[in-house]
Amino acid sequence: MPVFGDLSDFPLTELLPVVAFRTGALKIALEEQGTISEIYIQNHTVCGIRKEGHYLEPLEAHQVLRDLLRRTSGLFWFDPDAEPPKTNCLSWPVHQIILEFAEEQDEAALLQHHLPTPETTFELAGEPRSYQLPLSQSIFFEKARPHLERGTTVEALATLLGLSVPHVALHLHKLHLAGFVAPRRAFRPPTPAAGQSNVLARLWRALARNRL
Amino acid sequence: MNGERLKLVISGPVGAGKTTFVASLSDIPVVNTDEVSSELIGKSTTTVALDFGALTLDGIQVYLFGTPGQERFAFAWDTLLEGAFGLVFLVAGNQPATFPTARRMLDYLTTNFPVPFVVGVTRKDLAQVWSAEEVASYFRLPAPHVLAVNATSREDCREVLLQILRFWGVAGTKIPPEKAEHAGTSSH
Amino acid sequence: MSKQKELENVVGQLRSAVPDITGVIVASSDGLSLAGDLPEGELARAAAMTATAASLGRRITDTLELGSAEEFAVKGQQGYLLVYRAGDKAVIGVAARAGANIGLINLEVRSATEKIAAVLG
Repeated sequence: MPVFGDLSDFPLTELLPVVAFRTGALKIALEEQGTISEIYIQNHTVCGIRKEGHYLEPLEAHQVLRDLLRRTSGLFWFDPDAEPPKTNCLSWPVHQIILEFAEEQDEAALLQHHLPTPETTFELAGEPRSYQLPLSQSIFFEKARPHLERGTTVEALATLLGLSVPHVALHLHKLHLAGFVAPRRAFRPPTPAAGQSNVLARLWRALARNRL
Repeated sequence: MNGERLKLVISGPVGAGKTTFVASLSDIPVVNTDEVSSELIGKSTTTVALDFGALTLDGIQVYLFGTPGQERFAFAWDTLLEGAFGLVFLVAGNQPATFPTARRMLDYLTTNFPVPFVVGVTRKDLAQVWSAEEVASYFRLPAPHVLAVNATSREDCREVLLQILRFWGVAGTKIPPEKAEHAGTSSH
Repeated sequence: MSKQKELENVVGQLRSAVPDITGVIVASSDGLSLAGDLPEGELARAAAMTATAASLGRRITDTLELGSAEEFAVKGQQGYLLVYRAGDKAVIGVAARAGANIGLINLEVRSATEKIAAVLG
């Protein structure tokens, strides 16, 4: 039961990370074109881009991709049974596409609903990434890193770095998509023998006994 | 939490199935109230529409609060979440347009309020619906935090409750830490 | 001839013009591989690094007012990576052996970048 929706709710840069772990084609129908474009994904990589039934060569594929990345309306759905490209895989990493495209336009306005609120707290994500960030992301990340080590809200970081809140929200959002930072969840499981866990343990036992 | 009363908050966008979820678990008919007594929700005297239900197990009363989903009611959530032992955040799997705002809200709440949480993806019975895995990928959450739920099924709702308790580590259960690799993260 | 073929010919011609060149990558300015004669497993990384290097080079020439960026050279003990802009939309990375004739490479690449810029429009 795969992903579907409208690009007006999910621009392609938000969609690609969602399907990156799957193998198959993200199909997009643009109203005025009457054709379906397909982005074939495998192993967190864009392998091919197909239009009108045939896979495009890299140059043309790139133009189609950039066009799709800018689209703010259109239907999409994911087809896990789509036919993969027979020739060379484009080998375009999803993280490269979503990170680089940020430079191009004022995404902050477009992505408002997808961006974290100013009071959301972020910290460094546990997993080190094996790839490089694009330049401006890299510069931001290095400046933000000491604050992210301790954990910081979006608005606090904006104040510390002298940047606007939407700007920082967009950067953190991209770094989150790329796996470099993550929201710092406030909940920490208590150590055993905390008083209230007796009540919870009883609740657990009552539920586990299927007594509803 | 005071004595043998626990509070569970059920939230999420409009139409996700919050009322249904509360009804499935509640022993009493669900009360949709415009004004909830200040004693139950804490210090606030704000008027806001909530669904209220209650479940009693082994003498423990679990109060179920279904909140309004809209972001503009976020001011009320401070007091609702205070002392809650869990947050259930429901999204309808066939309404992806609601996901972005839902994620935004969830990340705000869970980074500011220390409460374990589960995202429930409802409408799993439909043909065109996002899977729990895909919703987890969009929300950037590890698998244990996202479950497919049929809100009309008492069994499914019970499973969500059990998962919240697992996060507390009761009965020796342990969920892997937050920083575990999750679906959708580039691993190369 | 398709534009893709023209691009691949430019890469091939560059390779054969200078024996000391060990690899060529043509990438979009957003770091995606468009053509190249590196092994498939290395294309993605080479494209990303070439675009980043070109970006950095441009940042430096802009900040220090050095005029328009021409070349970004990284020299290691065992060889070079030379990065050049090829119009506004693409960058070209050339890997060369240590001791390579950089002057000759620059000359050949200049003509290659002009062709690439023309193909991409």
